[in-house]
Amino acid sequence: MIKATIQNSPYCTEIRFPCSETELSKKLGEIGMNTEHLAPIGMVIEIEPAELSILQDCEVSLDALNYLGKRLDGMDSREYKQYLAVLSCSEISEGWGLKNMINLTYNLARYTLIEDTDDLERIGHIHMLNVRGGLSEAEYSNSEWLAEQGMKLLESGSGIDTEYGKIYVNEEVPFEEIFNATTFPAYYCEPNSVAAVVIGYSDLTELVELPCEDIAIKKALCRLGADSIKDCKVEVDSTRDISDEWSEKISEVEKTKDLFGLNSLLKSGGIRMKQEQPVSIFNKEVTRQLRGNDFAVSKGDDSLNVRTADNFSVKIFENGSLRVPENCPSDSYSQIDKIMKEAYDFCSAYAKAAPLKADGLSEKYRCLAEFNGTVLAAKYNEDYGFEFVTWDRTFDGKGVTQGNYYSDYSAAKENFATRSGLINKDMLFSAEELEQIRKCVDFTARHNGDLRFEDCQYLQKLNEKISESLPEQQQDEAPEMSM
Amino acid sequence: MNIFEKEIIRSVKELDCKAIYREGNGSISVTYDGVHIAEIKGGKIDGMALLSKEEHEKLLHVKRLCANVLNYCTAYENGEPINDPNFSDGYRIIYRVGNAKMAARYERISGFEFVVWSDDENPDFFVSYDKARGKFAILSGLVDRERIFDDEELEALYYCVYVISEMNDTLNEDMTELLKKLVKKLDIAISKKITTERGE
Repeated sequence: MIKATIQNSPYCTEIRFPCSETELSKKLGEIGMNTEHLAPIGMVIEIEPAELSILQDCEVSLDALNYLGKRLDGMDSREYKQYLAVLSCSEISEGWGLKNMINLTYNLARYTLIEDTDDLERIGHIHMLNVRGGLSEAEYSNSEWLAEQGMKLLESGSGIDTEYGKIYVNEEVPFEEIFNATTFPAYYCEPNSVAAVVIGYSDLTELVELPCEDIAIKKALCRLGADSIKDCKVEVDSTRDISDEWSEKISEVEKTKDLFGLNSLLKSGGIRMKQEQPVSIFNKEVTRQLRGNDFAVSKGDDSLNVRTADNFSVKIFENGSLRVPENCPSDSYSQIDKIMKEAYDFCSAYAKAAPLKADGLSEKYRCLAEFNGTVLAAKYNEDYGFEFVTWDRTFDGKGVTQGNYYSDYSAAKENFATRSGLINKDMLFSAEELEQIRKCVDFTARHNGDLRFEDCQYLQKLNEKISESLPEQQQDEAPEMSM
Repeated sequence: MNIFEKEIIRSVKELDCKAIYREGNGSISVTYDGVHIAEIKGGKIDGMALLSKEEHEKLLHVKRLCANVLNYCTAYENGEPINDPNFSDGYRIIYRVGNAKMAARYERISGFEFVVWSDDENPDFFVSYDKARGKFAILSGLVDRERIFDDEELEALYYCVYVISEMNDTLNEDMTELLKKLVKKLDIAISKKITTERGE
């Protein structure tokens, strides 16, 4: 949020941005300005946060300041610190004025903020995520690579100290002009909007979210330089989940261009939203399993919210991704992550699977995999969750026989892998067997004086591999032999 | 001769056996060290009676080999060609599980070559059907990568468990018993790996 004291000599008033058009009009009235001014300008006397103080004693567009307020409000705490750190840094200058302060909100990838330089992997993670905007799952879990990227960044020595941490300028990422100081870039920030409409005039565009105050549409037209909405191209950009009837009504504006009429209609209410989407099998299943493991699960707008034992709120999304609070220790959410990943694994496999065709089978199973005359199938039940089964095909291939039933997906997969001959049973070891093997390997690596250094290293690596496949509580146990 | 018969004749040599195709009845006669141990016809294998322990052991290996060869030959004959310029001609998809695919190509002289890949992993080529299956099991997510050990790793594990299991004076009875069982299992795993790989 921005708090600014605005002057229209001799009057002053304090305005908090972002604010609604009605609030802004009221404040304009307080300082003797036309309340319906379509491009109000005021002198900034004081401003917070202090990093924006370059605007002090300048006349600025109050709508642009309001837009910047909306952009800052949409940032998470890390982005906000990053933004302020850049502005606070005297060594960095992109010709700061209100225009480039807005542009900076779209150019944060150019600047990496590192608050703590102790954890290389975390530094690499923050930096690569900032520069690329996203990481693949393989990159995300590649600790070595992340640590390497973190090291590279630190070793570049280009970090500039700020009160928020060290700022690194990523020269390979250009500072782009998204805001041209005339029209505002499209920014979706109204949580209660029903539709977003793009108004085009000449080469310029403005986005308005409906319903809105009429003056917002008038201001958009003013910025575009259009005398009338009839001279503009009107395009519905997106709508929320509304009934088809309302969706058609909104689409008509593209032909009629009666944007004000549509706005009034939407403001009058009565829009029928589509019925809530049915909860997906993944959501149901992951909820069931997490609750079975004593986690508190609640449904958010677009995610499931899971509370960890140490009271952190972890979000699970429909696409199988997890959002964890910044300071949440990995131990705290690792079990949630594991349960979620496995549920996502079999739910997505189930969603893609075709019904199992087998003579004489009365229940509805889906075929997850078939290899060499062996079938892995699954059935979902609202009350009990998933049931997995492996079968052999009958001699004619039309039916199935000799079912092995499981509620545990991993066990079913393993049975399928051995039963179908994909893996020799003698080459798979149980957790107990692996634990004993691990202890033997560890003991040999530590106490066998005949081994060369490289042999010991090899054994230690082998032990790490074994530990990967062991349940966590077994990994934590002391690896000493009981002798 | 069909592909299965050609492949059997080619691959039993790897088990130190000889195979002769009898045109008269379309069967394959398998001999080991001059002794007739099996007759293969139309994918079915009949073992001979009155074999020595070593010959019987060899017969089991031939049976396992025969089952594997029949599996991939049948899958190959029914497989669809890969229409992908990244693969050379002749590959046919023989198995799919999830995103993972296994394809095979047959060459008259060298026999089968296998390739395994998934949406997330580049193709890996194998001559060994067992190794290809192992990789396929991992890529299809059926078995965790960490739970599969290669030959070198199995040998190392065997060595460590064997050394500890021989420390009779310091181990209690239960532990000794447990480790002996593990040694045996590792021994089987190593020998099966070696045998089945030789078989191809």
